[in-house]
Amino acid sequence: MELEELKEQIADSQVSYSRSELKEIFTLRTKRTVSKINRKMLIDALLMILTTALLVAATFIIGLRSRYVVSGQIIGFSLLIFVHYRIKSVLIKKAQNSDNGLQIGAEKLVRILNKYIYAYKIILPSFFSILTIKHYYDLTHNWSAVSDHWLIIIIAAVTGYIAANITAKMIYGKELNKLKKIIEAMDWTD
Amino acid sequence: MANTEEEFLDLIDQHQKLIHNVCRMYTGNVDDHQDLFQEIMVQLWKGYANFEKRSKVSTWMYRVSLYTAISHIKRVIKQREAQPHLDLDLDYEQPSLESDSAPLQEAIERLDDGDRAIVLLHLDEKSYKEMAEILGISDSNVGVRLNRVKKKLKTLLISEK
Repeated sequence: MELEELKEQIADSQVSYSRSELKEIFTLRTKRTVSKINRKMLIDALLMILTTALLVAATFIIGLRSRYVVSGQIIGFSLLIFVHYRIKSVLIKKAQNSDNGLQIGAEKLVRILNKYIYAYKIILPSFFSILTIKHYYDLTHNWSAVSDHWLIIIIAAVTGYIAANITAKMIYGKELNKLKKIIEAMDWTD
Repeated sequence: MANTEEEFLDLIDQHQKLIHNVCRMYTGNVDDHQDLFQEIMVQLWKGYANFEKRSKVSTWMYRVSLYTAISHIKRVIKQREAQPHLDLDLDYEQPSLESDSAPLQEAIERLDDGDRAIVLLHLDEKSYKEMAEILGISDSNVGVRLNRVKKKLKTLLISEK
């Protein structure tokens, strides 16, 4: 049998849900799933705010000497996660509804997401190191004394880099894998 | 039910054959078919508010359906295995096509996801332009790839004999 004959058979096949069945699927599955996703996002956001507030409060309660630096790092990190989260959901929504086809859309989105990931891999370590430098400068008001703490500054930068990597993987990992699957499926260059 | 929801259901009702065709192409049994249909509806509903109607509704629906079928199918099946299946009491059966089409359908099932998308759109009599818009490749590339897939199918059919 040729594809053309199968085309006729498929055109004749009557596969459909009734309107009431569609309504049932929509009410019982579609709306519930979307509400569940929205609820989960709200809980995630609240948990993040609560965790950030608790960690910042803890630095003050225990009277940490570098509490402003540590609190700044915690707040910066939380903001980064929040921005990542928003970008991801907005971009994915846009990608699914854009005028680009599957392959171009997926490739474009992967490029954009990768750019953001690279940017955060640069921004977060820099932010951590600047805060550490500022902390030592505020203590001594002497740049040569700050340079004595070069190892701690490097550790702060490396910590920032690792944190950016883990965050990117946690937030974008699944979506990037799905997009790569689409690109692979649409790639006929063999 | 709100107006937007009614409009969305009208849209699904009008174009449900398209979604069923995608489900049939990417699943092998009724349960998977139903689950994929429901997942596609979720993704379409999530994107409906942002759909700007710059492209044809069917083009948008094909994009979202294919995206969901290719990237979500494993998760959809896994989710069903992990959770009890929602009993919707749907009076629906997987379409039974003529038995002489079985070898061709088996050969199609052996194609990879991208090739199956080309076959699906060809079976739905989409023009090269529409296929290009849905898949995100050039019009000329569609022709080349369709011919390549046809050849692949022939080879698979011969090897099965």
